[in-house]
Amino acid sequence: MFKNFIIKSASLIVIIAGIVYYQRNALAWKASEEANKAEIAEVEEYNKNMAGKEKAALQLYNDGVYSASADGFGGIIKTEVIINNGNIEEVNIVEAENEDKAYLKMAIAVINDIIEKQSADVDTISGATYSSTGILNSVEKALSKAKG
Amino acid sequence: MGKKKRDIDGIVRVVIQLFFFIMLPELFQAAFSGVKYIASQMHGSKSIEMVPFIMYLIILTGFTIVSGRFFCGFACAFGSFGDVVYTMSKFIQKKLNKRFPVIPGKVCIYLQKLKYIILAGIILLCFNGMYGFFSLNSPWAVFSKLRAFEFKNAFTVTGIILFILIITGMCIQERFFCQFLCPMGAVFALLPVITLQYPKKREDICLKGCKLCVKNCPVSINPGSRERIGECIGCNKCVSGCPVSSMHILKSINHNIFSIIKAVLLFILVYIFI
Repeated sequence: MFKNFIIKSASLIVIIAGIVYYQRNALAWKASEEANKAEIAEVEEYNKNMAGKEKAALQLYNDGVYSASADGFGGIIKTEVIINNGNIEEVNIVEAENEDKAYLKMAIAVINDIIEKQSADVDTISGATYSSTGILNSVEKALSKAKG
Repeated sequence: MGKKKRDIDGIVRVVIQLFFFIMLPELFQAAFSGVKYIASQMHGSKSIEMVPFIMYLIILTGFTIVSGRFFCGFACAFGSFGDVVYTMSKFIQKKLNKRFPVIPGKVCIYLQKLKYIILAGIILLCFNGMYGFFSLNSPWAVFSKLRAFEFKNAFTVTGIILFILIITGMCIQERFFCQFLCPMGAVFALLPVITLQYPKKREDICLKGCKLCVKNCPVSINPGSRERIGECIGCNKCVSGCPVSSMHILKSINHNIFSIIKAVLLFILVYIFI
């Protein structure tokens, strides 16, 4: 039985080593991707400054605080979107009583995507599909109010 | 004395199970989501962040390496649900004076391998980015929705059929899902466990021909031996059913106190880190 324990320990170590090895590569990819993104953002910023008019066209939403709710995993999720200078500046979760804590924590990551993309048209978080869909739907509703 | 001892054991187990069912019902799913998360991130060549799912996974696997599959036997909401279904089925069988068909022990041993196939399948699907479609049909999703009293949306037909099939299995075989199908159980069964935690037998005081520990075992192992010990869910049934206290976990500590210590430790761990 001691043999069994050794085999299991060895395979566990192999798996963890594999994940660590992968993680090192993934972090390197991530860093280069971020460098790329920063470069692109710089160029875009430059273009924007060159064509001053474009900035006005980018005012997608009317300033203000808009809130809306949608179905999440275990009930209603209510969010609040703060628009400043025509941009989505902040998204807050006002109410999410019946969501499981772990899943909600995962789902909150969509907020960064929303702010980055300035739209609710982003991918859901796999593994926390219901909660993130709830957040996305409620933000979408709030944004449609901000457009009108 | 034997019956009283069994009653105390039963009460301790039910209280711990109920406590975890109310306080941390999402543990098993969140931990397995950690496994799926790693595979999914690899699909997208993305880095693995310290998300809550990973925290759950690390806590539960770490806890299992140190203290066996205590989580399966005492803290998993789906396992507890299965115990309730099986207890009810037993009660009905008694009332009707009829016995449902049972799965023979030898078949059980083969069926127990099924969970590794399911685990490998899910990991492969996540790794290929094809899991999204299947996740909607997960019987766990149906269970957790019912548990949260959310009946409105997103029940898929396949999910409900699978869930009903699993409940049927739970009626026939104790710990049906846990031993045959649970992918998280497969992960736990593959972990090396510090051997202190397993039930041990004192052959010298055993009654001749008594096979109660084997009979009482919900996962069809021989609790005294170390054979297929990864299947042991640490439910203590072999210990509490033993008429002569031959089965034991630790000589120095009563197994109930030991269980309570483990439960408190697990709860504190989850509470601190999440």
